[in-house]
Amino acid sequence: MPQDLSTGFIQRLRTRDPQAWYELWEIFGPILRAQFARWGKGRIGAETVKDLSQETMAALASAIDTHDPSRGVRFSTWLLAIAKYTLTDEFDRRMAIKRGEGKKPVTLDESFDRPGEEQPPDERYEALVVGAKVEAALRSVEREAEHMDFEVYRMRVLEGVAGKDVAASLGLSEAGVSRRLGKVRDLVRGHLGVVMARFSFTDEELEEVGRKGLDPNPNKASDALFDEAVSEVYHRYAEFRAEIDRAGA
Amino acid sequence: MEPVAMLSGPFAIVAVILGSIFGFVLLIWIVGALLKGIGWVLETTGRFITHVFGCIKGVVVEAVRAAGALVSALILFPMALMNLAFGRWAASKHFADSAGDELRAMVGSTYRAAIGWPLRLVGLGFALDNLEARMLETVERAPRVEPGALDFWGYTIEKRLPQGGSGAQLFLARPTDEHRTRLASQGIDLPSRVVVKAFGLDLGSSLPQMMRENRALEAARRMGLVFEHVSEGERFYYVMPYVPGDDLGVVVHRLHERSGAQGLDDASLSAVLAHTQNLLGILGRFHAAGVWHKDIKPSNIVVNGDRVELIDLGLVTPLASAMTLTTHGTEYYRDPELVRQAMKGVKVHEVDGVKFDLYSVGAVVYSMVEDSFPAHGNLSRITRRCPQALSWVVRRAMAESSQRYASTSEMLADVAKIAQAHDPFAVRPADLPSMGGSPVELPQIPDQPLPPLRRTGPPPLPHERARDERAQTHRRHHEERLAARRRRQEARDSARRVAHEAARRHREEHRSGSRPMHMIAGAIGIMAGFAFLGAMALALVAERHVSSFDDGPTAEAYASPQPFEEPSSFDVNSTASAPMAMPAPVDGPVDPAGHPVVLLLPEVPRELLDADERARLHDVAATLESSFGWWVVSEFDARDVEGVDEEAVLAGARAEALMNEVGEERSRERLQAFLEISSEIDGVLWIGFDDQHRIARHELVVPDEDRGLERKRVTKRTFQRMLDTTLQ
Repeated sequence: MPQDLSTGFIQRLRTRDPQAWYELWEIFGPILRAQFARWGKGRIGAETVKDLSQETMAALASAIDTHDPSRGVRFSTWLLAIAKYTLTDEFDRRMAIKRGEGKKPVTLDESFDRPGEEQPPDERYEALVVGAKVEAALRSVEREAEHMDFEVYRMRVLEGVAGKDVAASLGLSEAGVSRRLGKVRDLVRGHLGVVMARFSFTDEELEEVGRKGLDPNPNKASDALFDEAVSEVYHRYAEFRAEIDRAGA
Repeated sequence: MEPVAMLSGPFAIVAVILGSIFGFVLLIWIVGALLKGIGWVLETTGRFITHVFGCIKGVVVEAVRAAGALVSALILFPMALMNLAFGRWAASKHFADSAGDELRAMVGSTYRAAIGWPLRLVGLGFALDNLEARMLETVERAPRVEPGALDFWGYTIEKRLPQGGSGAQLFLARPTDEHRTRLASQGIDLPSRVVVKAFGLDLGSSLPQMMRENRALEAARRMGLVFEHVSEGERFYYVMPYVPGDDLGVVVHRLHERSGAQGLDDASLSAVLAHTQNLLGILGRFHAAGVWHKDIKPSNIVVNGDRVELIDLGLVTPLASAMTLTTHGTEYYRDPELVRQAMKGVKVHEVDGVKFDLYSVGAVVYSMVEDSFPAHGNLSRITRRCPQALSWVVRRAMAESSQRYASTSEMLADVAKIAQAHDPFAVRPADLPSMGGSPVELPQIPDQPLPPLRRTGPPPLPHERARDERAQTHRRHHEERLAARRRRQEARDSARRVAHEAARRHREEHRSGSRPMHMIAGAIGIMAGFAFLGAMALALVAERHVSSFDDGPTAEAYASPQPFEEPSSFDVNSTASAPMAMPAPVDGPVDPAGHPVVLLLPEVPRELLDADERARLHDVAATLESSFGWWVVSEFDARDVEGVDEEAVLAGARAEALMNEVGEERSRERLQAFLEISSEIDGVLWIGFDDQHRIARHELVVPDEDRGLERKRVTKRTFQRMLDTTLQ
């Protein structure tokens, strides 16, 4: 089920809870920066990219009070539309300065809040969004889990080190490695479910988790597949962002 | 004939068909090309016409806009003059600025109408595209104050250094011989080159930046990292050691270029480990001195040969500070937890600043290994060549706060273990001292070039400082009581001597038997009696004076009392119903003994007050002194109160509450905390003005009911009543 808007994260955003906004910024700030860098194709400077991503958040803050998610727009699509609006607004403003005209862009609501008319985001953007959600889940697990447990998980799953090597490196038994790994995996499943629900407006968005192999339901047989899927999404996300950072630099 | 016959047969038919097809295709092609050509001509003509009309429209629009801007400027300018005539400076400045904006817009529009659009019409628009905006930006970016225009007494500026993120201007300077000699006599040994960090509203700094730096300066001064600091008008500057070298980011980048794409080679890795140990050693000294750096990042670390030095003290904060935690720092090198805590509004002393610094060190080590910043926090991948144990150290330093290294020495022990290993890649995380592995001898970190610490231990915590100050106050009161007792005794002895002398004369005159002489002797006796009674009364007054006030009158004051009738107490009735005699005007420093000292704090800095408001504050200060007998510390009179470092207390109080409205809860708490540790002043009178330049808000802030003003027998409530009456 997507989140309950009366008590959920969106409600916290609507009440201007700074913690909720920081969390949103922490997760989606890098995505916005990456997306602006992609759109700019090297012609938008790093500082402008930062400014635009902040302006997108500001636009989001003004839009979130009136937005009705029941219209069926996905959260990621909604965010992308606002980002696009911010970018076009900036270009309009710049062009207006160049032309010496005061052309007014369309209003924010006119621009993004029309389901069906917006071009669907491309695969890469969706991969960035899923990656950001997985990273957010991993980050919260890292804060919650024992340091040693998470390091076992990191080495075993994210870095692909063999179980016995992990055990030798950290001075643990192989059984200990397995036990700690299982503990963190359960936490990752739980947090992933929470993060996905928090930033999903539609059932379709929630189902996407399963399609990516990140099924949050515990299943002994699918543990290896789950680990593999997490690792793949984590690395893909890191690669995308590194690529964009390099292009930006 | 046969070939001819063949041609006239089926071949001829085929040839005709092929020829027809070819001809048809050719025709279609020609017609298509013709139509395309016509289309191109029409399109070009259309574009040309659109272009011409667009340019004409642009000229007309800009001309109209220029006219409109001129009209607006002509309307606004008299309004500015009118406000100037009425003495409404702020409104006058507002209208003048608006008129200036309109005139600028008019010039821009005129330029576009007369030059920009006509040039675009003839195809030369790109040459000047957006030139007016670019020129304005260039002019705005130009340095406003040249080094030569700045003057720092005792220093000769050599060059301007790159500006830091704290809004300060940095200069490389050489102290003059005279100044070096002068400071040497005070025990400060200035090197041949120093860095002067200057802040000022005229230098482009903002008030919050200046306040933050001022607080950091206090901590840095305690550590001996600052040679001297000077406040002049609307700016202040301080002098630090000059640390030559390259920043760590540049050095690491060179190491990676030398090592190749795989990552650091053995020699470079060894250098990185040495830099990490040095950094941890220096940071340990900061923490031992009770402060945290708060902005550790490669660009704030200077490498000079084998040594590293930590620079930029702009965010240095006492670990036990009662200030509210701020989010300042540098993204990717700042623990995200710091931001979360800061947004909760926690105080600095409620968090462990040491751990935030250690996170930054972990991020710096990551950047040295990867030649890139940790974009994903502790989830950032380490992809280049790195010993597993060093990866573990980075992970542990950047782990969740409760699981992070507890101190620099704990982290240093782990790094030293890797650095001292014959093969760092053979060290397992399990071998590290923090994981139960055998410890190693820690390296000796050189002290230089940071100046030696003047303190051997951490600065006292606020409650320890308050306790020491209470003990000092107690000692001072005891000494004053003893002095008063001595004075009373001397007065009694003196009166006794006078009486004795009078009696002796009386006896002598009695023996001479002359009646007129009897009368004279009687008068002398009466006078002696009065003198004795006067001396006794004086002694009693002095005793009461000491018991009523913290600071009793000095011996000199007692010998020649000022024409000031001391009230029995600061009770509201006696003060209000029977006005006190005014204290005599004092030109030099005044002795606050026996007088409560109150600091006058407006909501906004002095620079933002207009002449009326400043005059009003001056009146308030004068009224407080004349009516209540209070000494007022303020920026609005030239009087010095003896024993009060006015500049320091004003800066301290400003840092706690400036730019906040009177009565704001958090500022009030901060002011109270400030008063708790300040023995120089007894209270803060916090004043705010309305738009009409009238005092609209005021509040007396005192530490609590049992200290401060209460010990002068004035409760906060009675004072408030008096104050309300006066301010009305």
